[in-house]
Amino acid sequence: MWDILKKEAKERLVHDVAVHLISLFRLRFSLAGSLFSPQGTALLGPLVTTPFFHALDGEVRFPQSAPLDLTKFRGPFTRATDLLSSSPKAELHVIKHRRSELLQQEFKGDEALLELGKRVLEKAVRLVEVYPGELDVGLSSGGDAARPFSMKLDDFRLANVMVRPI
Amino acid sequence: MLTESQVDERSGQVLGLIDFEGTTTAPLWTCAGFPLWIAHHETDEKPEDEELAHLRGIFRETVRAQGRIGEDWLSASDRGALFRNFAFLLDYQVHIWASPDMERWVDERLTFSKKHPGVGMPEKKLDEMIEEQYGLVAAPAPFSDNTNL
Repeated sequence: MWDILKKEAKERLVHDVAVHLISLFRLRFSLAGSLFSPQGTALLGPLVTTPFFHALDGEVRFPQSAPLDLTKFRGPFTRATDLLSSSPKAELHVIKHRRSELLQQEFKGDEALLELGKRVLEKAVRLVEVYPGELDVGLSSGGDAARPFSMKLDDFRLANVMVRPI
Repeated sequence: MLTESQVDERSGQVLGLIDFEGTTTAPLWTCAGFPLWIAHHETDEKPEDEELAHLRGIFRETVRAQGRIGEDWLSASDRGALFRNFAFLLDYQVHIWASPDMERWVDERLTFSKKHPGVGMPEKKLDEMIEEQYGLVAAPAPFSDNTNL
């Protein structure tokens, strides 16, 4: 679709998308999590992101083992650092409880390499606290401390742009 | 998870955005990324695409024209770019983290952030990384959401 649009149409599309994204950016939330819309209402709840999928692209990570309960890592959260560290913390939980499966499936039995990965993940959790931590990066107006979150369009790509037939 | 827009294909007019179920809420600097189809990554080896650069310019000017909220978006976008690189990595599984290069990358930023709180550490160009390690030049960037405007 993108490739058949004329230059002027692409310019209009980009302009309109910018206006809509800024409208969304005006929306602020006190919680970080995923949006749900049960029965026409909108609610913020636990994260529905790839680290928490039971089967990513249809593939279960440890098909021979019982699924791990990662609910406690999914929020929703009031701190940015808790949101951002949720995935590495969940992965550290996986390492702790599915070590032998990980070693076999993803590390060819290399204990030292798995330990390296675990160590770097632990460092990444520490880095989340300071890089940039709870700072409102780039906001001249200081932000809204009570509602520090906005909408993040994780999958806003051309493959998901729909064209209305005319 | 998906956001989908309806477009009039003659004019390019966006008629609506739909399907926000599952979209996440997150810190502002993570939200202020350019749409992927017009983004340019600082570490890209390919020459800058002229049309995309033009469209990014339109996007930027449109955002700026929205007033203070637009200025905030642009500032969060520019100053948050290097932090978004890190946030992007955080969903990776352990086998991706298990390398001395990843450990060095994290260690460098742990050190840098002590001296420069709230400032993103510049990413090395691929050529610089290779030259540093092997004294050679070439190859593709490992990751980046570092929008170069």
